[in-house]
Amino acid sequence: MSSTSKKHRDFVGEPMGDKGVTDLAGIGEVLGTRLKDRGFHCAYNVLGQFLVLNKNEELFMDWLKDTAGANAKQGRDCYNCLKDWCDSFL
Amino acid sequence: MEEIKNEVANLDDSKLRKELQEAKIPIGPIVKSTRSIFEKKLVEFKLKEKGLWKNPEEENSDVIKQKSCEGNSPVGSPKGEGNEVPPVGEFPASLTSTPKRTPSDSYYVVCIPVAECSKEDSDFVTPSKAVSHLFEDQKEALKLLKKNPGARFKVFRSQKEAESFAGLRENLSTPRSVEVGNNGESSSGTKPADSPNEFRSPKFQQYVALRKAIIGQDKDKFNELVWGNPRYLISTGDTPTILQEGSRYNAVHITSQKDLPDMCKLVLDTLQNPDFIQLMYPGENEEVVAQRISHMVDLYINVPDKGNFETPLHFACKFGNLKMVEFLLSYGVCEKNLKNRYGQTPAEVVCSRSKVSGSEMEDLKKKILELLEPSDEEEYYIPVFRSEDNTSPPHIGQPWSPASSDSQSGQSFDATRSPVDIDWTVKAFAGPMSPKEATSMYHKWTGRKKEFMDVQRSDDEKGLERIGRRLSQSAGVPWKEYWDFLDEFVNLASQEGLQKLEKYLSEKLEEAEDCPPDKIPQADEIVKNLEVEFDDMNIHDAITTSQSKCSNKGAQESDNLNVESKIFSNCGKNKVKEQSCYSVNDVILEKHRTEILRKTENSVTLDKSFDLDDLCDTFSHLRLSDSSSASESLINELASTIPGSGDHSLSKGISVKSNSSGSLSSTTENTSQSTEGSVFLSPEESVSSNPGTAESLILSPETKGVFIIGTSATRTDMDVYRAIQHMSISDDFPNVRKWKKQIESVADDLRSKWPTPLRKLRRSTSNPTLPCTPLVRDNRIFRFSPSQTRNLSLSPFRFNRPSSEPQPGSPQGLNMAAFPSTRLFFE
Repeated sequence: MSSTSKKHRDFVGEPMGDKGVTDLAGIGEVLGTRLKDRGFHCAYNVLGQFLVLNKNEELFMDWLKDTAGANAKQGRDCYNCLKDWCDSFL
Repeated sequence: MEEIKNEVANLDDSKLRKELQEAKIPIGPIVKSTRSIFEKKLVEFKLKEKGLWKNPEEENSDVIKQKSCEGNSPVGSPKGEGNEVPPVGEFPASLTSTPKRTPSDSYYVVCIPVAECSKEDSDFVTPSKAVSHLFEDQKEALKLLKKNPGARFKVFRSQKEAESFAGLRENLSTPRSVEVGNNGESSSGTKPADSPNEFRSPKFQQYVALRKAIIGQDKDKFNELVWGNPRYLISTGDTPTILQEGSRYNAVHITSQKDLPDMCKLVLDTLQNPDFIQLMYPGENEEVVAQRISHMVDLYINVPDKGNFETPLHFACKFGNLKMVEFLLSYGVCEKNLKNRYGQTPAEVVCSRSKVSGSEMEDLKKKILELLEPSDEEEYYIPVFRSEDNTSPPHIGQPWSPASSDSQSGQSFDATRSPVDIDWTVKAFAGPMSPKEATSMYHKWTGRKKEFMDVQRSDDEKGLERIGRRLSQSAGVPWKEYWDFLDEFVNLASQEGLQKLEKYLSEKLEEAEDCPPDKIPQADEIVKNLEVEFDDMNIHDAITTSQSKCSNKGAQESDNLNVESKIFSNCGKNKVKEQSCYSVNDVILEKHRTEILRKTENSVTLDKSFDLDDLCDTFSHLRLSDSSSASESLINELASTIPGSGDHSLSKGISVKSNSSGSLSSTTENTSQSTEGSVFLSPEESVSSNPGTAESLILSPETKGVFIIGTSATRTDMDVYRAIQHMSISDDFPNVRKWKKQIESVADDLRSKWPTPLRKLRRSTSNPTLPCTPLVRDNRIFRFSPSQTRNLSLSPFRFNRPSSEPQPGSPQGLNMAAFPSTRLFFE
């Protein structure tokens, strides 16, 4: 990864608080609504899933693909975002 | 019941969600790990609906309770005790580890110093005895320990060891017990004096409570917590407490992020309340308290967080919290140019995370930037200092800003000045720029880069300025320098500067045009004739014609020469007037020169009383010396050389010259004139210029073209030329253009030999009308640091620095730290 997006930086630099799912890197409007339909309203919901899946990249990306129809890039962005957040805050 | 369970189990996720929503059961994401719980909830709900609900959990919870009790009791009780024990050193830690051993293995010896008992005695200082108690039960040992402050205990594995230890009757109490006794007397038991230990740092959870209070704007709660324990705000070493673990936010971070200026004010006001600090550190004097306060406020406001390294100001800007920005900036210590992880200053992140959008955001952004803008008003300048007479090497001042100067105003210089003190004057400055730019530029400027050093050494008049000009241009920083002839600070390489130069030159031209011609009508006539003749005659013809003309007039050699020189100069001027194309003019000038030269030779040889060789030598010598100081010697030389050559009328001219050497200005003009002549012409030709020199004394000012100082090319011309060398002059400035072309036509090495014009000496004490113009901007007069400025009323740009050492030019009296560049010259 050459550089990170602004969204990534904004997410990773702060406590998560009760940010919405769309604040996650790689999660835009479309994926956001899909996730919300499935009950993932907040970023911490996704974080929970991320943790339950053992912070495993492949599993998490598969999960995101199944639940929200994310493509590989979106999945990776979201994964990296949560991973970096965990690295600095967990 | 089973039916319902099955029914629910068979629902897919979305249906389950729907049903849960209908049942108004709060739901989160339904995934494998959470589904069973939601299913259970739904079943419970459905059963309740049907009235079949018996609470199975009540039984379960009882079981759990019992379990937890069993599980907790062995661990819980010693812990509870541990908390009660006054925390001295590592005791709690050792306590928690002891229960793991079986109690029967351990023996506790508690030593109670006797000194405790005889506290009232004055000679308690040497308590040599202690009472020791042996326990097998830890609890009892601790109880006794608690009752007797200063007592110590030790754990032994075997009873024997413990007994032998208990048998020792020496003082085994901690040294602290003595101190306690001491303090107990002095502060008579109101409060223990070792108060820094009185307040314990709150636990993480307690910090969270404070954070919640702040976010919830619960001022009462905040006050209650903070005044109950100042450690809520003051961490160890007077650092801010971290209210948000992980990203390490302090209270001000949080208020900035959440846009709570009121709470922020409360936090900082509390911190600045001396009573609050006194609560933490009782009995401290005011000075220390004030120091602590300023230290803490600084830290609270300027410490970056751990995530993006952003300060509270970053937060306030980023989220577009206008009031917060305003509030933070109201603190002078607030640093406005700190950079975050991505190298952005607060100004650069304004509104990047703001919730509002569109024009509203633009408005907000503008407002915040306006607030931040004064940060740029911390304008920094880099001045160039020169002594009034350039006798001491110039130097570059440290970056300086008008804002910071006030703090230095306390410095006073003694009023007594010795005459050898140097008058340092700001002659040029770069700026305004940010402090950072200023520092980097300062280092570049003062750095010993070879290229720069060369320029600096070769050009003591404008060397530093030339470097500065280049640096400021590459950095995009405004540049201004003082030009004597314009009598103001201006950047010539700007439109404004060119305008001024243009104005100056055109004035000069007018002045030159107004004056001379009527004085020499004859010459004018001859000039016109000559011009006509030159247009269609060859040089030889011209010589004979003009010669005959001159002789026809019956003039003597001196008159001849005078007239010719007039011709020479006037021709040049007329040409300037008449013909815009200068190169043509040059050619004609050259023609005239040749012609005049020949004629002069003729006339000189005719008279024979004139020692041509001598004069040639003089002038070739003169050519080498390009400093104005040479003028005196030159004149003497001339005076000695020429009168010796007989009763030639030229000597009159020379004597006039030497007579007038008293008048400094005319001397310079004189010198420059002759030097210039010798530069333009070959040594033989310079003969012809000599009469011109004499002439110019009588009929000053004469011009051949326009020059900035006087009537001939000088150093100033070159300096100005260098300043605008790389500018393309537009048609708006015809005079400047002409002048530049004229200078350009001269070869570089010749140019460098142009003489320095005489410096007009200005004594601040004798001459109150000083040339320095105050730089007025925004109705403020900028002064270069009051510490450097004296005679303020006279001119803001002047300052004198007294040197304590007797040698002139010694910078010993200066603040070397403030002017490190001087070291470069004097060390």
